[in-house]
Amino acid sequence: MSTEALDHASVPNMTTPAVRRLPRSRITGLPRQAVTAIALSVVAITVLFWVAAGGLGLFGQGSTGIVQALGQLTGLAAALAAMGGLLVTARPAGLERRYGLDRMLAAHRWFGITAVFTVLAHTVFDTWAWAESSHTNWFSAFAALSTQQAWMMGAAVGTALFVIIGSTSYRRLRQALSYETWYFIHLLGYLAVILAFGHQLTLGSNFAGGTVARWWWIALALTTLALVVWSRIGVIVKSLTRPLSISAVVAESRGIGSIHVAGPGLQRMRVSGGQYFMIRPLARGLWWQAHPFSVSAAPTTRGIRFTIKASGEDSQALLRLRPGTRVLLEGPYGTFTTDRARGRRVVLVAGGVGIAPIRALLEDCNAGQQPVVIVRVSAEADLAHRAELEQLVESRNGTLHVLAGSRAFFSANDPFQPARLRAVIPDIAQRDVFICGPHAMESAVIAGVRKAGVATDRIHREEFSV
Amino acid sequence: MSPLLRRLAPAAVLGSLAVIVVGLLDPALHPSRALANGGQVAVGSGTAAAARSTGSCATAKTVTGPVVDTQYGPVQVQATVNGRQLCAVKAVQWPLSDGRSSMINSYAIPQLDAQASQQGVNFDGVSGATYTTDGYRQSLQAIVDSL
Repeated sequence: MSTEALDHASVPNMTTPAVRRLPRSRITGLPRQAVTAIALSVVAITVLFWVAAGGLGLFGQGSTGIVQALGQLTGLAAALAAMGGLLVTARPAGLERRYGLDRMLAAHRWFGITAVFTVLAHTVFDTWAWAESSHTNWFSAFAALSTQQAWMMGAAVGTALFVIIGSTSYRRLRQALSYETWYFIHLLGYLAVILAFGHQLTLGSNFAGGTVARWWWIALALTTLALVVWSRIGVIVKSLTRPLSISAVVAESRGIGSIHVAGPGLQRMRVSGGQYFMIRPLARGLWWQAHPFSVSAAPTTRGIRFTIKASGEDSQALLRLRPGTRVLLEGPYGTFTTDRARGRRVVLVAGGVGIAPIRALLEDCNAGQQPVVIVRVSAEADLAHRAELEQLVESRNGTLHVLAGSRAFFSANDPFQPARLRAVIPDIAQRDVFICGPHAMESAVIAGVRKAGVATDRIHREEFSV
Repeated sequence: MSPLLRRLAPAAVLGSLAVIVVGLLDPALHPSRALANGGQVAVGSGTAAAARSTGSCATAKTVTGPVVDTQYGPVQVQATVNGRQLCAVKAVQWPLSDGRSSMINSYAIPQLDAQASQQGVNFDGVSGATYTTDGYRQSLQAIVDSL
């Protein structure tokens, strides 16, 4: 089960004579300062256009003026947050390479929450202002706005969709829905943003009149649209024009198996150990779902291996796929790579199937990094890729520690106590620590290594895919 | 029902509903109906005038009225005329000096344009935008007087 597992004997017609490792993905994303600068300037320019249109003057016009000003500001904030949310969830490569998908999705959540609450505030303020200035009640004002003003029904319906999307993402409600039910509802966000766009141009007092401001707003929307289309549709086009299929499915240990993916789609791919892909098998009943799985060995021109725990219905289905099944890979994603250690020595900690990215990270380490690998499993029989780990550790001047025992045992005897860590790894304070495993274990390891003297920015965890 | 359809259904129903409601009810998509329902028109219309510019109005010339100063700023209208007949009227200048004016006028101007194009100088006017309505009427009256 050592290197033979990488040998895709079943792949027919391999035209590349020599097997070589695919190039590693580089951290080539936009510098953080540039991202911050762009985001701040977009907000600043938008606010300046608002001020230029007399926004500040409204505050001197009594209560109606103040309500109008707040209505305009919350409207702008909602629109900008919605654009930001679309942008990060489109995960353009320039941002993903820098921040990693998990943080992009966290940002998406933040943008989404902001957009829902500001758009509600915007609705309230503008209805109020319209009721005041046309001397009617709120209900008539709302009805007049949404049924008599261009694109206002679109805005009202878009707002309703935003509220539905927001509430289905509320943790308790989300848990009650299947992932896909939630996801398809979430996709309506695109529709909501499009429906709400019209009224920004026809009624947005900043953008309806002044031509420069209007073009600024249109340019922002078009840029967002272009990036979304480019990143999302680009992924689909790429996977269709450069096909990949399953070349082998291998049982690795109790409940853990691996699938090997190969094909012309590997050309021009750049992958580092520790990264993951969204896998979408083009098989009956599975094609509409994509799930994240970590690469578990250095990918070569012969193929990429994913190590998968048969925990749920979908991962079990994946491990039952026949060789030859087409798959779409989206990625690679993640910044959980050895680049983060900048050549320093490392400790790699894996729990359960967290061994997949850790195994691939280990292969990307050099002998100078003297990797110390700690694997926690509930029983020795659960450890996948043991022979590979032993061989890789040896060739890289490292050591392998396998901790086998139940969770109950480990919670009573914490193996990650600082004193124990220091005893086993005397130079731990000078090392970078990479952790991938169940959430509770990751927290225990982080607490332990911090106390053992590892700086926070040298602790790296994979939060998304286990 | 397959698992896919079952999970797609809520989103599909919501999405279709959203599109149907907006398609049927949004004033931007139904300027003519909005007009028929009591003189209200969609913002940015001018479509009422466009619909009337048949025959003789196709060869109409453009006349610009004087700038009328109101308490909140200047109003000026432009009309296309054929002989003594008004084909279409639209404002070329209106008060935008402060946010409140620009908000009010973003509602009012398109309505005034449509009303004036339909009804001439004796158009109904927009309540809540009295100053703009008066300035609009004066500028248009000057055009009509000059014909």
